[in-house]
Amino acid sequence: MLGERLRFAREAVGLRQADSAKHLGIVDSGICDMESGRRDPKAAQLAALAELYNRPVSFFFSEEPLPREVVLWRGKPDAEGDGRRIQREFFSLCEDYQELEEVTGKAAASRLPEDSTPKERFGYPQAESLALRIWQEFDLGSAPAESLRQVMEERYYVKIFALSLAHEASAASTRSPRFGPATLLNRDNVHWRRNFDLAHELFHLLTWGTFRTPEEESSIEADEYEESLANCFASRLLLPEGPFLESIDPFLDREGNLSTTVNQIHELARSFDVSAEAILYRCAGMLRWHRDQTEEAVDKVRVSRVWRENRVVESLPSRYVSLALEAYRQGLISYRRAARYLRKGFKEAQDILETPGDDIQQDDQITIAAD
Amino acid sequence: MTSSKTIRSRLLLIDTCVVIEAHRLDVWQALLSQCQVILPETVVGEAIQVAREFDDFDLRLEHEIEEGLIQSPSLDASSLKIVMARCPPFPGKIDAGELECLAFLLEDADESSLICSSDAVVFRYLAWVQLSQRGISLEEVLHGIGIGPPLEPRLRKAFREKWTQKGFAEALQAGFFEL
Repeated sequence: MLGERLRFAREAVGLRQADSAKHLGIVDSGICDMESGRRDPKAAQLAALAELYNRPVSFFFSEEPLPREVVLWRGKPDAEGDGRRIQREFFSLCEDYQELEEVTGKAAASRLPEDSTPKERFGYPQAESLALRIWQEFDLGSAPAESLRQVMEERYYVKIFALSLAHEASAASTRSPRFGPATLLNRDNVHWRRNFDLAHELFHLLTWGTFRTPEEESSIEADEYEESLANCFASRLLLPEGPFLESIDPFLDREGNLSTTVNQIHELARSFDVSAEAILYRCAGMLRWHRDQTEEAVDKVRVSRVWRENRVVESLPSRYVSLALEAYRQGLISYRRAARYLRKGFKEAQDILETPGDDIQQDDQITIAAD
Repeated sequence: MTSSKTIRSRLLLIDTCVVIEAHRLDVWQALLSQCQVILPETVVGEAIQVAREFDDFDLRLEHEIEEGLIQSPSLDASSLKIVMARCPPFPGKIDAGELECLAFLLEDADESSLICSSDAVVFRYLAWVQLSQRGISLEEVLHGIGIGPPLEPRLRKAFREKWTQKGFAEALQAGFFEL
């Protein structure tokens, strides 16, 4: 059992037995012996492997079946390079989030709906109507990008992280029976791109049961058609028809022809917190613009050097950090576990964990005497 | 407060956080000279790793082990499973070094060892498995050998007592044992 889990964990991060053996400073066959159950590792060796494989020590003694970890990538990173490591870190963060929720008694099942339209009947009209339904149900208002992340996290308990991903990867999603729906964003992307990525990934989460099959591998990419449906959904969700038409109305003539400047397109993009390209593509789809002219306009706004302030995103959601602090301050997890949850070293974690007031409990009494 | 004689005659298992704090407080050599210190292999590895983040003290554990100033037992991984199995609510919440300390403590048939920790979860665990008398704070250890530097709250006796009591109350409420 232990050996099987050691092998599973090693393969999940794309390491060879020789890599693990080198990490422990033992001969290659030592890892083979541990994985085949011929040799019991020492506690210190298991701790070192747990860290290398990005798993808690308790994982190796669990009697639960080995988890099936499926991640849908938008631009899959190189599997032989950092890809598997990043994928494991994403899962590790999701598992840690779930553990923190459980340990603090704040676990809540996700309420994110799942669309039940069969795959063969799912096309652009279904993607559009799903976007409209979600826009209404999530109560996203006239600038949905502003509140989408907060609504997904706080109302529907979607776990959302942002890591520095490889150049070609922009986002990933999973829908796990253990920790529910989760999304990984590329924190190196500008925030308006991340907004679109989040809406795009939301489509995959909502239609997970429609497009995913149990036979799929652990690391997958959607086909071109599913990706274009996700883009269609994201565009309709972030630029809802009513508010969007109202904003572009001043620049349209009676026939729906556009006459505006590059600056004004960027202004519109700022107000909806999306890219200028997304504004033009949405107009083109809605008003049936000429394709070549649309592409020409898109090229123009793309190369224009209009300054726009980017909002940097934290890797960990604020609720996650707050749960880690609460768990540590209530004595529910050890100091080093807390540092590990926060992805900080021992010293750096001290500034966060040992702040004044760390001995004050939420149920401590407050009494103030009147004069 | 634990007496000086008691501290000197017992084996003292020290967890990673306390190893680091004792170095930062410059009381490590005093501990080594007056106590029988035990650092399981995992704690040694963790402490060496953590010490790389600091440049204000010199950690020489490997040398001190070679010189026989510290005992560093190496337990089988299966002993960690026993720690977890003994108290189901705790797996995953205690780090590996502390798990190996607790494993040593549970295997110590003549009950001569104490665990010196600054983690609430360790004192809670000891209370759950009815071994709270085997937990000790750094403040109590230092007092036992006649040293009294100012300490952070989590290194003090009051901290150990608070979390021991809490663990005891929880275990009782959960029906883990009866009075």
